[in-house]
Amino acid sequence: MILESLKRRNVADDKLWEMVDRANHLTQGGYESWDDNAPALVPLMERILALAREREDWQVYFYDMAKLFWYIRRSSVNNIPLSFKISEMFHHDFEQRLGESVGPFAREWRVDLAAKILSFYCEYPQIDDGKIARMLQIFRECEARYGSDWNYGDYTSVMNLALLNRDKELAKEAADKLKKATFSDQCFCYVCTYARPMVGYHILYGQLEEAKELVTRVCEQSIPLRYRWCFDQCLQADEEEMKDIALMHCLELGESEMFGKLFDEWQPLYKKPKQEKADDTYNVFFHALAGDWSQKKERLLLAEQDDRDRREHKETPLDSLYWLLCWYVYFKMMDGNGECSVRLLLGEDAESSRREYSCQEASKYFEQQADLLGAQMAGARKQFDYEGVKRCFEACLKYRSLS
Amino acid sequence: MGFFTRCIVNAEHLTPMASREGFAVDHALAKARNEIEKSLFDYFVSLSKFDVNKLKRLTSIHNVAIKSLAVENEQIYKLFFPFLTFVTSIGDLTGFQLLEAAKRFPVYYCAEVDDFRRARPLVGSARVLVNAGYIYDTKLLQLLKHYFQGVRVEMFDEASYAELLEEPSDSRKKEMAYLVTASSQALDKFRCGVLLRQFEPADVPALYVAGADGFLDSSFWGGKASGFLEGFDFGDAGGYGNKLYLNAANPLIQRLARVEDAEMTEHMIQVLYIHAMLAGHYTLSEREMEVLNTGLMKLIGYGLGGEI
Repeated sequence: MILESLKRRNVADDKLWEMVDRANHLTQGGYESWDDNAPALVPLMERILALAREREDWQVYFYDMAKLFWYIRRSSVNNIPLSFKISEMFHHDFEQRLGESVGPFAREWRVDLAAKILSFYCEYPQIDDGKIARMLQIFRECEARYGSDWNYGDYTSVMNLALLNRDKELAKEAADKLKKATFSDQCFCYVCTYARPMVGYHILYGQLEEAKELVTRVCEQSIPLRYRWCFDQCLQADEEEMKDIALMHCLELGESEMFGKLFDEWQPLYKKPKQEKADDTYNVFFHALAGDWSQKKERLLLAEQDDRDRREHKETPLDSLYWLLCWYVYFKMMDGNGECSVRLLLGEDAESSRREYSCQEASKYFEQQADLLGAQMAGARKQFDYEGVKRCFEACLKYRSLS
Repeated sequence: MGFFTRCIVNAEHLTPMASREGFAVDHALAKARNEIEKSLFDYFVSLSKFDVNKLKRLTSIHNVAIKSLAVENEQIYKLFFPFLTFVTSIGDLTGFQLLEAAKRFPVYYCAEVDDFRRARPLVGSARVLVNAGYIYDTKLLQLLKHYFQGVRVEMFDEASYAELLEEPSDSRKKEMAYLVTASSQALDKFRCGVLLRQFEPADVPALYVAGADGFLDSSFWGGKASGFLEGFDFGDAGGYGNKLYLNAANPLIQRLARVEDAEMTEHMIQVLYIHAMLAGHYTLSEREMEVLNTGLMKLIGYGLGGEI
């Protein structure tokens, strides 16, 4: 349940409690039902936020705000305009020192929200190095003022920033905090909060064996007993997801050689066609690289959707950038396979009736779009090496020939 | 299920707690619970086969309690949903009636009681709009699609208003173009967009619909900007979520479109805006309260034939 930490005794106002209770009822069961309920749940949580602010119930206010932000950032909900609005509200409250005298529970959630906003900002080229440094400073200030040991789990966001900037010092700071974090309170999932970013950390430091060992531990579910609840709930706590993450980190960090070694070892997994519908671009890319060319139609639909989401700003530019690079190489591989053309609706042509593209044309289109976004990201972030990332994606073709 | 049943349990193999007020939570208790659940469920199933009237009576007495069980248990849901009752725009309907309706056309629901009150007069009898603002009802309606094939259940949100309210004819639009522009300017400071539509009942001059992020909009646009969002182009997301729909079929709006005094139009439209908010049970902010007071004075002034 999304607001499960709030019990009747914590919420003084009857109307507010009724709404909290309803939000919890809408989120009984697995995350899939949570996502299905988004049309009702998002407005309800906004209303809780408004009423909690009016009633000055800061415990409900900050908890609901952090949970709402987390929820709308989930890939299946992904409400970007609302994410920006909540970020602005956070800054507004922070400057006003709103709810300064709240208890530890609300304070911790406030820090959590700051961390999540930091991660969100990382994905936009409009947020340049200066703004990122300012947001990191706000997070640190927030943590120093309101945080507790519980907030160590929030350093996942700092790790994300460190990996994006390939900043080893910052990554070390984040890793030290994450190693001290606890993952047993059903808030910080061990796989999402610890394993995924730490795999990236090991790859950044060139520690291939450590990265592999961590992936294996999650795949074999040999993690501390009290953290194993994540395997029942989290969709990321899965062997293929974990391996995807490791390979993805290699590509995004420009570690082509490490990618080759890991991919070589894990190729048999990707050779097998997936039963589930193709809905994850990286996963499709790795399967194609291993020689699995199943679900061609579904994959083309996914490529169209990624392109449409980029144009309509329904995905963040950084996510779009990496997915465009995947499709750029994917269609190059198709071309190499001797496939002449594909039926796709792309870019401005989506408005017209053109549907037929040669694989070379499709690859070129995705490359151009990636280059545009890449140039924006590289212009805003000094440490972001777009050319290096692109070269690393291109180098995948080399490993493909080994398969 | 203890809220409407009493059962006699053979507690011989259950371990009582030291206080004798309950039982130790162990395997035996879990087994006993399962057995009780199964007995009750079997009884309900037999009622559904042999004494439907009794099952109906039971459901009507314990409507809310059964809804609370149905959201958690698929079997209970499927068994009881047809007998549960829901408040709708065309009166109270049973789950069975809703299910039948949803097979033929989309059934809409409002997740808030206030939303239902606002939308109800507009939907007429052509559509079924369910008041799902009561606890469990939203979840029950959302589960309908999962448990039954070929049904259409959709949430009634601000986009649904746009579908429900008709576009006026081109000539009417042309006649009222000035009014719409002047109204947009008059409501700009309230962060409210203005649209011309035609809807029943015709005696409603204007309808106010808060955007999904209405509350957050005020922080986004009204508060001091953080500076983080400089350089962003939000496109549609930057438009006002809150909307005032002017009813082109309303005689007052038609007369207002003929007024040539810009100041008078501004005042009138602001009063209409406040009136629409009050009619929709929205809370007025300080700025809107101020307009309500000054606007009424101005209207009296106009009524008396000039400025006060």
